[in-house]
Amino acid sequence: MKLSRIEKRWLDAVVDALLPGGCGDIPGGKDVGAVESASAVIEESPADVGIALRCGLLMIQLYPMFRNRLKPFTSLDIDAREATLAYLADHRFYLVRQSVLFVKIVVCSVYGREKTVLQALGCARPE
Amino acid sequence: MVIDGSELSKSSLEEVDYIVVGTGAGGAIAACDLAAAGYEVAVLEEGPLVSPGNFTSDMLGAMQQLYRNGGNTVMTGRSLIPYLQGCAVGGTTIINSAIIWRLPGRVLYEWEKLYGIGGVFREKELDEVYDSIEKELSVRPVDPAIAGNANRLLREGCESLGLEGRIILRNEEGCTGSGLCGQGCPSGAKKSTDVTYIPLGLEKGMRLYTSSRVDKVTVRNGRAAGVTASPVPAAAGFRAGKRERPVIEVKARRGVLLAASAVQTPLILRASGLKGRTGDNFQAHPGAAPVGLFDEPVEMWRGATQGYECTHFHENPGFKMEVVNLPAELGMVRIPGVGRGFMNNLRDYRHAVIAGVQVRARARGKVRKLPFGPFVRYTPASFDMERIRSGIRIIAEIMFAAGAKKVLPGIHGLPKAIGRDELDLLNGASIDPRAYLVIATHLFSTAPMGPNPESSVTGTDFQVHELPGCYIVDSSVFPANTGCNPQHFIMAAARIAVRRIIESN
Repeated sequence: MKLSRIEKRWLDAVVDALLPGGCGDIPGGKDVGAVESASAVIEESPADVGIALRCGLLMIQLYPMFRNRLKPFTSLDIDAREATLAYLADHRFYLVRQSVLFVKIVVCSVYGREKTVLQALGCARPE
Repeated sequence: MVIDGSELSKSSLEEVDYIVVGTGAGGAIAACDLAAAGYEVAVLEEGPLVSPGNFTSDMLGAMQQLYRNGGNTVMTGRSLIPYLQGCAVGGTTIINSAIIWRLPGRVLYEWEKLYGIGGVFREKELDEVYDSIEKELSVRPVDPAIAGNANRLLREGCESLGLEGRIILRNEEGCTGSGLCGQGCPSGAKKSTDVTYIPLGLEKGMRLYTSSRVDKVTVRNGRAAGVTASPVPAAAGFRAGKRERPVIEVKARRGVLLAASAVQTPLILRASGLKGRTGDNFQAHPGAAPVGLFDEPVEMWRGATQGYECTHFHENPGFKMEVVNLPAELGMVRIPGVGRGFMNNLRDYRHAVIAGVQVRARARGKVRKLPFGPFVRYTPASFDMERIRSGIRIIAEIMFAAGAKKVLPGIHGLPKAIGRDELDLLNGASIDPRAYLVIATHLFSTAPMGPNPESSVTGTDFQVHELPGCYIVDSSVFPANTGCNPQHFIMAAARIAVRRIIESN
């Protein structure tokens, strides 16, 4: 199931907050095309994976609106996005934590396989 | 002969002596032994045939290629618990760490006393079968030269605390310590069934259907008479409306052996008309894996995926601990934080060791079929969670003894990282499974063996009580979990089952 244009925008914002660029020599998620790779993975994955990711993205997108900000996640500045994600990742409700964890798993699974990332982290496998 | 189900354009029908469903630890050896005894055998496997040269070192690619549902298989209960199963020729042996354990005598004694299966597995015969399998699969301890730093540190930590442990025995020959067991061994060093019993069976004339999912056992005159299977849709492109999906029908003159795993076997039985206790009594080995951060670069992606285990608490209270060398793309999920904090924490990744505790749990669950696939209901009991918590504490102690500067316990409500002087925080941690990242390995007992049809699904002759001619030769048939890595005992039990089946037929 392909992610829609809006869902890709949500994913883009989450990748930016989760794996920001400009952290020294470690490339950010968008620097290595994590948004496109994650979208491609979801497209090829079983339907339940796509549904779970969409639920996670929707929850992250809407959550700030219920937390006195009256703005969705994509309208927040980068610091507020990061703070929102950190809050949700450690939320007292299990399913909220799990949703963020699932999004993190999908994003990290495409980010962590990039050679440039592995080299920057000193984790490159011998050829 | 290999028949790729996804290539079939029309329905097929054939008749053989025995049908074996599944090519994992139980199915492969059973099929090979039957073929070696001169019988006509057809083996059906849901996954594709992938040769070691075509494995990918990228975990995500491997999951899509070799794992059931792309690695997205989850048990549902009080919490969500991922479990992993192989779905390719070789079954889970293709993606496991090749750990070999003989079933502890006390577990067998317990099964005989509690479940009335005395005499099924005789000690002398078991030893002879274990010996033969160990020879066929080149079982050996992990060579210290390729064990890697993570396994060395666990060993040093155990030794400095005076805890019992052992170098892990594995079925491999020529392992180079690439740490890629979970992605399919690229060098073919791991003696998984796709490179051992399956090729051997094919040499003996066995027929192998790949990408062919068995839907049900067909029944004639109250007896198992064959199976019907479907080509796997994703592989075959038989999506709705494209064209008529062919049916693979195989008839069995003598018997049908199910070895499709503790999740799929009961579902095939239920689809074949069995109800009652089939799929109940599901058991597993749940566990959790804290992370230790060391000053020295550990580089856990170099070395044996799993090379050392702490067995000190194996008998009592019933758990063991071992290194789990995860690839970066999976392992980095265990690094806490998001954003810039996470990116900075990632710099520690090459200093990380991940070690898991694996519990012989008391909890029982259920396997059922829902429209979207198997549904596994399972919640670890409080007693199991207490042991997971104890295991995490002991792993933390081992890691500190080996020189870790911090440990990430991975328990909600505790600090993300704790120091040596904060170990006691673990004693007060919640035992709610939702506070942990629990993962289940090794699945059992959904068609348990026993003499009484009221309390068991399979008889002591491996034959399903309610379906003569249908035999179970995977871990579904065990009356309870084993407390150790089950591949070896599954293989031994399947070999013994085949002997009994041949004798009785």
